[in-house]
Amino acid sequence: MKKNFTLLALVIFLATVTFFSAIPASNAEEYPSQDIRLIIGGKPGGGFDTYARAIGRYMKKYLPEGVNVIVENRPGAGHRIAITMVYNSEPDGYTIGMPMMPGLYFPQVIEKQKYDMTKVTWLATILKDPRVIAIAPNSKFKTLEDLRKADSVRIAIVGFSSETDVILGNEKLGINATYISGHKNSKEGVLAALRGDADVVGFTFGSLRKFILKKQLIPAVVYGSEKRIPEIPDVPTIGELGYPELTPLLGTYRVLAGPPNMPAERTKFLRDAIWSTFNDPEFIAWTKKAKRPVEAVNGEETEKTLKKVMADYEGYKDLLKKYIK
Amino acid sequence: MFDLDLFLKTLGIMLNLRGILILLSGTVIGMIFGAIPGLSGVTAMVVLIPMTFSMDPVTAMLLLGAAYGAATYGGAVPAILINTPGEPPNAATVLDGFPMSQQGKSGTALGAAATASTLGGFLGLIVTFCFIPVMAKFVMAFSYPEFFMMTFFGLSIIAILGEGTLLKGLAAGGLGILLSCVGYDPMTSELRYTFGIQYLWDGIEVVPALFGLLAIGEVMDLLVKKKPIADHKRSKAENSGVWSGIKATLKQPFLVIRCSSIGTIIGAIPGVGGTVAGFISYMHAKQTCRNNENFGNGDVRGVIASEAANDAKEGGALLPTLAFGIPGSAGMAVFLGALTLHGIDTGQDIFLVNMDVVYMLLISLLGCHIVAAMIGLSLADKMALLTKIRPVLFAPILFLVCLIGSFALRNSIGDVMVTLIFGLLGYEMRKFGFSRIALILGLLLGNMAELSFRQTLMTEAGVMGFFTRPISVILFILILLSVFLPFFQTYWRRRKNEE
Repeated sequence: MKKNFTLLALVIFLATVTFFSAIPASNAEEYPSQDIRLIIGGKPGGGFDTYARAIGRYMKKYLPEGVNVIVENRPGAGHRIAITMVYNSEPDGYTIGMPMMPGLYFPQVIEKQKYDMTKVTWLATILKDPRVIAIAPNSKFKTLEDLRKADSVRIAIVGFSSETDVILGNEKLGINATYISGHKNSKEGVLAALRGDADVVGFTFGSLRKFILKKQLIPAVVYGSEKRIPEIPDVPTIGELGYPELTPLLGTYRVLAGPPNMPAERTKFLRDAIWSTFNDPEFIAWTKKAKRPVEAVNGEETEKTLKKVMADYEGYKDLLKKYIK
Repeated sequence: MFDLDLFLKTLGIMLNLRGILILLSGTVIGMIFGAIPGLSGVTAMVVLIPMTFSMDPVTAMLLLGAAYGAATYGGAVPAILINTPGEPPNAATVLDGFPMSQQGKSGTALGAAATASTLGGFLGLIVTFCFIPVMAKFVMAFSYPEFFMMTFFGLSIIAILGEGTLLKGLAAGGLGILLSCVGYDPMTSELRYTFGIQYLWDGIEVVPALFGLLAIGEVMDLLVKKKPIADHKRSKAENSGVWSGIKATLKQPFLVIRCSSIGTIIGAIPGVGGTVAGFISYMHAKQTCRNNENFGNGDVRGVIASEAANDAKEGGALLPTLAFGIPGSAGMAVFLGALTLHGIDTGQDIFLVNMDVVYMLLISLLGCHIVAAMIGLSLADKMALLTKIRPVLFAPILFLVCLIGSFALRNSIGDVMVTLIFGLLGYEMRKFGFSRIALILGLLLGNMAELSFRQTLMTEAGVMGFFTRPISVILFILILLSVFLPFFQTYWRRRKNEE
């Protein structure tokens, strides 16, 4: 009997909570009048989480009194759980997400997903992090030329969908790669290379920076940056090697986006608030202190760039399909 | 390498009123987070990080280190009292800790856990210190074949669990491994056995399943039997207080040293995980101790082995951080993240430039163990009363705590469903004598074993990789020994008796 009562109490409690959280925004003119949820696919303490929490903290200034940005972590399935939640939420401007591109686009090319990246509402780019193909010091390969000539280069990756762009770059440069996937994160992949289980890693410059600057890894080529990276000026970009058309397709875009069909005025409000946050002196000071660089691009530009990236990837579908089932 | 001046100076920062208050509050917060199923030391740190913004990095380390270190002890409390590990690494503590509670000896178990945790934490740091000169080589020596052998080692403990028959244990373990295959393939990212349910994409989350199998299963059983956990008829045990637990631990110095070393070594290998440490150490204790027939039915040495290894592993996790700037555990990763927020570069040279931060981390990890042990020991007898409450008063609360805990984990109602479904499964398994820990081991390690097996096959050596690398071969021999030795022992004993 006691147990039944407790269960009943739980049900009532849950029902109340659901009821109150489900009240829709009553009046369009008052937007935003309640907290904005920012759903991210990264775990607490990780890169996505750190960016999201900082943006949330400083964006509060540009929102009406009493409106907060609440970060929710929904890790899993390579950010697909988080984007599915955002995609299928009410397009009222109260739920936004922080997807990574093009990693989330490729799964939908291969198989129908419960989201469609071509339809989401793009709000801003926080940063496009280029990738560096870096060689382990005790590998038999020393230079990019060695990699292009080799019969088989072992590359440690996290997963095929998160590193689609690396595969594309390698295919174009003629690097015959064997991918060892399943590493939990870039750090485990780097460790595999340092141990000698892989010759090469191809993670973002942000996550490889300290290993490269300390000469633990030798950078060979940069994917996805138009200019050379200032900290490693001797390393060529894939554009210089004759494939400038690939540059926008490679690298990881960290972006902010909302569900499809958001009302135009709410989209504009969010784009403006985010843009003001990115230009806020306190936020900029934070990015320097926390070593989390921001290269902001506004919503319209982000939309244009990513739509083109997604259209271009269609052309490489067959090339990539042999790796991704 | 060791700068005594700086060490004492850092110690001085802790040894004043402010420092001690910070240590104390960090420890209490950590213990509470560890003891509540669903929250963990990592959660405690993530919650505390914003509060450290106003502190200097060294003081921040004191607070975070204390909270993190204390959580592993906190996690042992519910494992012993209510059969629910507060964090997965405490899972092996359940094996003997909970039967001890049922026999009315929870005071002893809690005392032993507190002492073993403290000693384990200390020894782990000492072992780590000994390994520093060879750390880079040591961490590099473990590759995919060794990862596989370690997880295989963990799985092989199913053979010696002792609950129900061996066949039932294997069936439960096999079911666990099958369930661990749900979700996307770790290598090719294909979806497997998800039936179009999005929740299953990422597989069955271990922690909610653990709550269901162990806690909900137990709650249902309590309500059916209508008897408190500590059965008065069975609890004729004398010396069941905290002191007997402390004494029991101190009487086993070599066991504590061996188990702490196992914990440290496993903790030093990124990608294997602390849960394996507890189980392998438990297995080691069961096989090396004399009069081991009581393991699994409330032998205090089981609690000691698991808790010593569990706390020693954090010392080990420092090694890869020291050697490569690569965190050895989720906790270390959050530490490094917190340091970055304080503007400290977390590469290898943190140990040259910001050594005071590292010293403070060591001091706080040690300090919090002492404080946690004092709090734990003084409260142990009071906490033990929990096992004497009538189940109708206590079981519904536990039921709610578990459901809220599994929801709090990722704010996902799917996790709550998993808890409920596995709760039913756990109750039935218990009734029919199937080992629930075997299922958990399968669920926890199946995926890791599969991944490291397939990664090994992708290397140049292929399947021979398992047998051409010395550490892998040694581990393999150890596995064979630990699985088959008990059978031979019984066989020999029988022959001797016949003669």
